Amino acid sequence: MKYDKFFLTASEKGITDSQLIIATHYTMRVEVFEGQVLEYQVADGTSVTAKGIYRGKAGTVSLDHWSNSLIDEVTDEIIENASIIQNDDPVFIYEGSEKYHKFNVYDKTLETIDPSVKINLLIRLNDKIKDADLRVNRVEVSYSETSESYTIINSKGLKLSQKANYFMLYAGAYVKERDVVKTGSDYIISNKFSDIDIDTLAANCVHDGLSKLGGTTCETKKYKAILKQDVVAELLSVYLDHASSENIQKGTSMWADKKGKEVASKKLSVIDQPLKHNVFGRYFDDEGVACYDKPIIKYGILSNYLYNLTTAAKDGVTSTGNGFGRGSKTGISTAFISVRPGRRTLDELAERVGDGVYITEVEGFQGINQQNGDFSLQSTGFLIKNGKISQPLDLITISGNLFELFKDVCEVGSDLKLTDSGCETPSLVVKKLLVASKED
Amino acid sequence: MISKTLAIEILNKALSTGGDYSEIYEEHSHTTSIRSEKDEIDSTSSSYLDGVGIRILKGDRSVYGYTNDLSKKGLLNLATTLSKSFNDRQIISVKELNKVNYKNRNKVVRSYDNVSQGEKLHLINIVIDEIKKNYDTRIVRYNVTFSTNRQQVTIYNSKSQYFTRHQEYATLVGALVGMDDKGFETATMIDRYQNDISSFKEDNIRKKTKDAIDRVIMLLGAKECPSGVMPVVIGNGFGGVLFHESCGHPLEASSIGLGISCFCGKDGKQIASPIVSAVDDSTIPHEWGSIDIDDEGNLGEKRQLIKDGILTGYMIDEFNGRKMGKSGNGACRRQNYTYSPTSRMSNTYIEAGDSTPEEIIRDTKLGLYAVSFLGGSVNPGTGEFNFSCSEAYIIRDGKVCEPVRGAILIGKGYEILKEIDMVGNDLALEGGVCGAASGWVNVNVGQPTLRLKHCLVGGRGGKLE
Repeated sequence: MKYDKFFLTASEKGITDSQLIIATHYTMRVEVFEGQVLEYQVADGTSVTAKGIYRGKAGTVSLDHWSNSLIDEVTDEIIENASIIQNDDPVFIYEGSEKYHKFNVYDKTLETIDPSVKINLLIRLNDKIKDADLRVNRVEVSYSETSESYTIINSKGLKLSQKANYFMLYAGAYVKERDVVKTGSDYIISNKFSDIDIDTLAANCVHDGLSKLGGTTCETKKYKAILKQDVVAELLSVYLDHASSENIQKGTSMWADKKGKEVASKKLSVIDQPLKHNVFGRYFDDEGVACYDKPIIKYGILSNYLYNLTTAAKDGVTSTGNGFGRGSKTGISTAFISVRPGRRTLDELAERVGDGVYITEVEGFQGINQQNGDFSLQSTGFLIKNGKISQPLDLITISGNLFELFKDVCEVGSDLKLTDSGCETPSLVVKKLLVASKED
Repeated sequence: MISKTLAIEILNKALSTGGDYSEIYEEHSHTTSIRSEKDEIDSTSSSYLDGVGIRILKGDRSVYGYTNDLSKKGLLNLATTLSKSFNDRQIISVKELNKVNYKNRNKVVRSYDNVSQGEKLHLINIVIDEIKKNYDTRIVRYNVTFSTNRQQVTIYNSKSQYFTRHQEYATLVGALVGMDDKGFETATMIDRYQNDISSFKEDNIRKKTKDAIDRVIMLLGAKECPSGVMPVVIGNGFGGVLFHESCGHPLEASSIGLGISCFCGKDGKQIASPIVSAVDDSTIPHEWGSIDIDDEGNLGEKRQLIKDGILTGYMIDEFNGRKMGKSGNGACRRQNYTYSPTSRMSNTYIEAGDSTPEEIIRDTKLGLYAVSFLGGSVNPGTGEFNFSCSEAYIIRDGKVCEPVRGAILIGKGYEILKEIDMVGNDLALEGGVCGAASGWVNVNVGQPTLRLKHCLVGGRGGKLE
């Protein structure tokens, strides 16, 4: 076996247990700007993360070029890195879970489609966007495709592999009216070429841009607000970090001692769903533990903390299969999150809001205080008047606190969307959100 | 390392279908990191990057690919695959490669590869010691990280050039979390150099750590920032992220060349207040954002972007420069071999003016004093930017008064530059990491203290009164 010598050498040098994570990928990306192929990229690569336990401490080394001639150097560096660890957290090379729900998210047909077909598709998409409206000033579309495999092998006999491929088709438009430029975009992530509907993608992208023209200001005050799916996904990614057992153990989570208690609106249910058969799905984590689906928030009640092997050992529980990250210390995160949808469409949500705002984009993650959940973010949005989404708002900020915001959820939409941040969510309505604008 | 003979073969293979420029970027880099959680080292890592990127240009088209297969066969295969994007006759060929000699302003005297773990731990321990010396029960968590990056690249191109560039960077970060009955706040100390370990001075580390401790305690007691349009005084140093986000990015050829920047068509025109002059200078020795020679073999330059409010220059790479009718000016950069390069900033700052910082504060009746920022982002097409304050105060009757938290400034780059009505004489630069199309690159931002007549401030504290 290609990697046997590593395990043998590691053992000879006193590394009691060792592990390799081998990730390979092939990517291609085409960008078309104004109807011309602007950039074409292809790449293949391998990355190997070698981990070992030496005198009870873990050390790691990552490389993207593996050869047996490097094994001595790599094992020495594992020992060197492990030797300066001072804390006594338990470390593991895992022998394996009892059962794995194996799956691959791989569609062979994607790779058999000639690149010229993908480029032609982009050019047609470009033309559709350009022709949709005279105010479309510039068009930027891209197609990126990734095929990856991920293998974990360790000295305890564990060997697991997962394979996935997917593409992302992006449509962007710059629209201009008088001297005001706005940008519109939409995208699709899938591994089924047949999922692509360029008419809808072009229409959504142009509508997104045009709808922002003619922006107005609004009174700086609290509004009832609909949060678009991408906004919900961004805010959730910070919010859910408080379910990490590491943050709980270190005393920096707002959810310490809150398991089984109400932390959010009863309307809100959020599931950690790694077994979802989409491009974000994983059946084992970076420690080799079997992943499984579980609620994090169920009808507003905090249902589960997320664990890796180390934090689970400290709390005397089992890992939840959320150990992701490849340093000597494995982090804790989710692979894929889904929010339970409601029954109302976006239009119905707007009707029930009556007068308020519809927030469609937020920018700048640094505007969220990850520790206490306070946020103040540059946003894009629209006024909702008499139950209809109406005028766009020019340059606004939204401010609040994530923990209060998710308690204030009063409606959940039916409009599920898979976002590029690994979250499937509908739009949410919150009772109040502070919006600041340049007032007239 | 790729031999010159092989490099010539690869460059010509890449040019065989009509490309007018080809380039090989070979990288061998090493990064390390040691982190403490409170007083104990709890994690370490090291990683090696070894790969090659090949780029071919033909008119206004670019193809790029990279591989970790460093064999002759692997590299020629990549060049062949990329060349298939074109199907014309070969128009140029490479016969020889000549070494480019350049002034090495960022010379590495002692590589971090030769620095012991003990020396690195010593720096971490200074931060820990300073935190313990100033112990406050409200500081509930802290971690300290020391990371290094040795980046060694050799670039061969069809201009018959080849050169090697060796850069080393190190960063010491202390992240503090404070807590009181109202919740958590955070503050960070950062010390970073494009230079060897002797640049880290104990006194400076202690001062930065103490400042971070004071900041987190101050934030715990701070009120929510008011929102609305108000005068904003922006502190020197990292305050320059305002210019970086709102104006620097839209002045990169990657935006200007495609005609999507809010500054398109403004060459030679007044885009800022006449008291504003700004530069991007990659030649300052050992500064965080400096590079001696860029990824296209063009030497680093001091680029005057704005002079007395007039737009005078851009950051230009050769590829995007073609669309502007201009040559590259040493601004072509990338994070590593997995990225195609493009125009990027280096050390970008607003030049010093005449006012003292005290005069600027004294002249402000009611407004916000934004001392420093966490970071920000911009849409180069619309010019809309945002950045979040890490330390801010209300100014009342010319005096710095109560601290506020959660402040965010938003606006449009092309409007905000005209709002600058006072520029201080206390120019300072601060290092940061900038993410864009060609990955994360090290940059300095900078400015003296300055004032915006009006700026939209977001926060939860109601109206400013």
